[in-house]
Amino acid sequence: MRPSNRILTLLGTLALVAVVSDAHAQMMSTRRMGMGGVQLMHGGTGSDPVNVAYRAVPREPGSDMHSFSLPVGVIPLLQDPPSTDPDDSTFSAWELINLGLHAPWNIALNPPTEPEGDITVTIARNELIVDLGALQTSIPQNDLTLGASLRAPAFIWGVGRGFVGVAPLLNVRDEFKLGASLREALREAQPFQTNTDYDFSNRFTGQAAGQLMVGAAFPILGGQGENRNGLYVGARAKLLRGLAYSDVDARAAFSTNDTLFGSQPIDLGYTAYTRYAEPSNGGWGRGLDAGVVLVQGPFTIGLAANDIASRIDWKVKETVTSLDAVTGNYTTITLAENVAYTSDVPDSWVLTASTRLGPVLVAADAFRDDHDEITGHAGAEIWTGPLALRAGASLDARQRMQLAGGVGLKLGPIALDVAVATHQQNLAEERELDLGIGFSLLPGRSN
Amino acid sequence: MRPDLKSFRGARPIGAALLLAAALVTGCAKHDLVMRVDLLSFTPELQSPFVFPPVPVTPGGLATGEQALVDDDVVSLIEGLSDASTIENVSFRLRSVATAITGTGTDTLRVYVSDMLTDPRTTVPIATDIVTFQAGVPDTSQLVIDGNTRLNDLFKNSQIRISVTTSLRGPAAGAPLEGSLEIIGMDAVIVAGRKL
Repeated sequence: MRPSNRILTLLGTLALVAVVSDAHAQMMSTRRMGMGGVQLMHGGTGSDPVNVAYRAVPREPGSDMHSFSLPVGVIPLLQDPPSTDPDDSTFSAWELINLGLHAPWNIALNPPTEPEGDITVTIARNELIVDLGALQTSIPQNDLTLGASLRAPAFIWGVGRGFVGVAPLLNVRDEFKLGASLREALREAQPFQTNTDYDFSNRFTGQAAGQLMVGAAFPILGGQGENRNGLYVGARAKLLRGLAYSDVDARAAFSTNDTLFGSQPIDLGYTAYTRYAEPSNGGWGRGLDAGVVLVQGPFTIGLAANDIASRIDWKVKETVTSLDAVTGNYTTITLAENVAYTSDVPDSWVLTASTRLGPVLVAADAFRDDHDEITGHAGAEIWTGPLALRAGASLDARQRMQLAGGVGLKLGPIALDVAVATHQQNLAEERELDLGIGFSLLPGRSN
Repeated sequence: MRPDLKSFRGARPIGAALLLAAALVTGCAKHDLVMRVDLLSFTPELQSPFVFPPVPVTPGGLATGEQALVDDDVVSLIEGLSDASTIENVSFRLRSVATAITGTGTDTLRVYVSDMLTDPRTTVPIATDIVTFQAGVPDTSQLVIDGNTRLNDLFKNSQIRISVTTSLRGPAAGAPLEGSLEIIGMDAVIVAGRKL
């Protein structure tokens, strides 16, 4: 394989991990991965990206554990990078799409097996059947939404209870909807019907901005000195500067006539409305994060809302692209330029809770992320001498149960972490098992 | 007669829909695309048996000359197939039944296929089959054409034109030839490998 292909693979993997790190943070911490991906909130400045109020919560004694995950999954990928050349005999769109759905940070112990078998298309004047065979499962059963958000790295300077900082903002969302009739025709090899509508649509939104953040977090009840018990609040106002924006709302559809391949022409409709703005057309925006945390003994619960009413102003160019059914050519027309437009930065909500049941740390969270997907995680950890045992479970965005487990072995000031976790982020939605390897830094842990 | 091309635009959207699947499907290394095209269904002239007028007895047998059963029909395939995949082989199959009520004779069936810009009858037939008429003994014939590079190239198109002709030769002695010819199957199986 050419070296350039390896470099592309590495860069692509890092980019994937970077943009999905908020949503799949368990990939970046083997400890959390073994605990089902649950958020571990111990207070202090490291916890505030999720809930700004945690900034004011004193760190839990002995919780100064910083965990990292090694990109062990990238190694086999670099040894045998997937081909991106369609003319290459090993090229596989199926494999590339799966890599996009789940960044290969960890080692896939049972990667999904590419379905084998031929695809059969039967054509007659009034019959059309597309039998994808084993690949039918690759046609999404539900609407497919891909999204990614990036709000890191953030550079924060604290001044007493207040702080200022800067961070990038990248938000991408892509919704792909296959009409029911087309889905049945492709997923179930149902014959195409006469006088029936077939359609699919794609809605993409992407925006990038710079953020200047000013905020504060403090206890409003208790939380004095060494006593962590109390009620804490925090807020973070954000001034945004739009750098780039684009949205595309595309729909393709056709309706069959009395005869599928008859003499009556079928009108294929394809229309794509586009809005976009370059950096010079980016305006100012505003946003707000807010959170509250209650600490009572070993029990901690926090609720945060991020990007509340966050909006960015733009001067966009609006175009429409359509297909001329007669000539088969695509035509793009500029509808307007320098149109004032305000985009929304989707908000997200997170509920976190943790406690200690004797020597066992138990934590749970529930997320409604900025793509309206709700996920939940729960995990536990117990240290017995130098050995940590971890287990967890999660509900993914499709509300499917995923399981995880892991161990940590203390080796002086660091611990070697190993974890396994299941997921179904692949075209066939097969359950995969990932192996993660990483380290934890344990500066404050005595055992 | 040149068919009205505009009337066959219907193939385009269906092709577009299929390409949605093809992008995924033929983009995978472990799959071939097998397309079965019922060519007979696109030729309304062949939907019923061709009952020919009696061919009289003449010394050496009377040749009727080449007559069109299908003058010039259009078959719609998948638009963009050649963009998404590489056609590896086209297998063409012609099945017919020659039935004689009286007399004996032969018929030479010819199938012409061309692209949309060419009159099929100006090309070399892609299939030629000789069937035999014998009173009371139907002759069921099957002809398979495989590995024809011209056929492979033709099926890269989203539409093709097809023509079918008959050339009867009557009896040299005995009773005049009376009967019918029925095309009971005419299809193509296209095997395409991935390209995307």
